[in-house]
Amino acid sequence: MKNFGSSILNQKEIAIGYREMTISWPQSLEAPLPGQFLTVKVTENPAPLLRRPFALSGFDREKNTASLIYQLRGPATRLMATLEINSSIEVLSPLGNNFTLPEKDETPLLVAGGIGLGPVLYLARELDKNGFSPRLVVGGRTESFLPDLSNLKNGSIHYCSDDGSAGFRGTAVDYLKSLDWKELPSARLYSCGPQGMLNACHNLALEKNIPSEVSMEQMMACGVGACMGCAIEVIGPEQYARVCKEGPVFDSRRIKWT
Amino acid sequence: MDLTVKIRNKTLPNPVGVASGTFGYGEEYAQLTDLSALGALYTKALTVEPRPGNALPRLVETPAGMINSIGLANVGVERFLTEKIPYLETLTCPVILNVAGSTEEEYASVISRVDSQNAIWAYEVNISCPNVKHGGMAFGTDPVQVERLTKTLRKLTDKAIIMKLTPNVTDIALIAQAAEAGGADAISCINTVMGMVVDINSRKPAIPAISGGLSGPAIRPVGVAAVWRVSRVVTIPVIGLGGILTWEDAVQYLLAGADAIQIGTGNFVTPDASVKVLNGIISYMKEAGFQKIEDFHGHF
Ligand SMILES: Cc1cc2nc3c(=O)[nH]c(=O)nc-3n(C[C@H](O)[C@H](O)[C@H](O)COP(=O)(O)OP(=O)(O)OC[C@H]3O[C@@H](n4cnc5c(N)ncnc54)[C@H](O)[C@@H]3O)c2cc1C
Ligand SMILES: Cc1cc2nc3c(=O)[nH]c(=O)nc-3n(C[C@H](O)[C@H](O)[C@H](O)COP(=O)(O)O)c2cc1C
Ligand code: FES
Repeated sequence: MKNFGSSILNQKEIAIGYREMTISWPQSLEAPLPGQFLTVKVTENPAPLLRRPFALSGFDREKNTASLIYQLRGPATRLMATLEINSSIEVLSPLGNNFTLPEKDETPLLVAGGIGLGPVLYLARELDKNGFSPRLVVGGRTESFLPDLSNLKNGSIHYCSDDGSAGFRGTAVDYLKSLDWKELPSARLYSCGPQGMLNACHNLALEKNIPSEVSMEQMMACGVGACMGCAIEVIGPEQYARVCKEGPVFDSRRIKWT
Repeated sequence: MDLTVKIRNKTLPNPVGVASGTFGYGEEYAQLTDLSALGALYTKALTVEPRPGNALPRLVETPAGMINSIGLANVGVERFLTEKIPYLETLTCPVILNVAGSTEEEYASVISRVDSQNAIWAYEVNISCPNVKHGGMAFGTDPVQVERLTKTLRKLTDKAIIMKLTPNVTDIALIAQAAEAGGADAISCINTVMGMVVDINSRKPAIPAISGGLSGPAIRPVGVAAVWRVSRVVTIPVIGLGGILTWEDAVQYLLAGADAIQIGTGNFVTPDASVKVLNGIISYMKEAGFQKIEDFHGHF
């Protein structure tokens, strides 16, 4: 974990309202793992004040570059979109925990929606590299975004949209339900996106009795476990867990879904 | 150049501390800033019993600030002694324990149970938390209760007692005088300013606790004014905080009468803000020809 000055090496619009940014990564710093995130100080001015968290969407150790995919939402992301190539930003990373790898015989099912695409893409690429055959299901509003996964050896990608305009008609979870589960003797579910989607993934995991991890979101201030601001409700001896420290990736059975 | 700050019978190595609730127990920031360079580390509030904290969400950003409703979430005395003390013992900077409670007995009980710990340099008594029903602010707004509580705690320990005041009062100077009369060794001011954000889409408050504590640059002028008012009426050291991001902010506090400062929300923005602020203060002192912290005082 380190707070470092990073150069913006590239940034481009990848879908309406979504951008991908590639930044430089210190050679001496550990590689971020899929699921981990960074926080960005977007300005030296006192507003917007807090650093903003974003999941890593990719990492290249040879080039020492990392990438993130972000949606334009408010003041911080609008400012980020105006930053020119070669300008610098302050980044704190790697933060939080990461997705756990599947067992050898498990089929990883990855579900992404909206801003959840970044970490899931990174996970898909890493799993593919490690000899797994990830099935990536992208749902909802990102149907206009077709990530380049041409270099995946074993993985596959499936698009879902509510109106059927792109790929499967229905939600990502509807798509998963439509699969022939006898073909998937052991599967493991990973999801990141809107809360409703995560909850649906959790319910599916219960129904199919498969392990499932979700990447959660909460407002953050410190990002390093110091302020207790990013708590979410969990089941267990402790009522709350910090998304920035115990998360952002949780066993979906640990979350107190509301 | 002498950067030390005397409180009771001991000295802080320099005037720059990190504020309670924003720096955990130090461990969280160990990889990000030089903890041995801190003038003081003020821990998260400690209560007798563990507290899970308030309902969610607990944070909302505001113009140049943020509102928190953490609710004094902490592990309680028992786990503090077994889980936190061993790490605090490894630190070389002064560790000041922030103490909270809802009754006089609770404050007293925390101090009695931890007082033998050498890792604790002093106590900062939080009589100013706006985020729990009986979280001290009820104490902190009444000079009679402040004096009585300070007196009670003063008898329990040889360590310094720093009373941390709320700005949510009509006259903070009166409260500071009451604390000094009760035997306080220093005053910290300010805790957060009560604030509220309404979500116009849901037509509900942004946080379930309705109002919370405003911190960050937005409250800096409130803190500077509080330090000015308090330092006029007490003879004990005044520790200023509220909205310090840069060394320039810290110098304002020192010139207004503070003997030391703390950085709270600023740590979230710049994890090594404390080191940068201290270096800035040193450069400023060199340029101004200041030899000691008191040289900041008396310019207006
Ligand atoms: C662990 C984690 C990973 C994330 N990964 C991504 C990602 O890969 N891509 C992406 O587009 N977004 C991601 N987000 C959300 C991202 O942080 C927000 O979209 C961003 O902060 C918006 O800032 P803004 O100023 O543009 O918008 P604002 O108008 O300020 O906020 C819009 C919304 O963003 C969220 N938000 C704002 N400030 C914070 C904060 N300090 N901490 C957490 N959430 C905040 C809140 O839900 C808020 O309602 C992630 C959030 C978390 C907690
Ligand atoms: C997330 C958060 C948690 C806090 N927790 C405590 C606490 O436990 N005890 C306390 O005395 N003050 C607490 N405070 C108040 C700060 O110590 C400080 O007085 C206040 O935030 C103003 O300083 P700042 O603007 O530099 O943050 C907390 C503040 C924040 C932002
Ligand atoms: S953001 Fe501070 S504890 Fe998670």
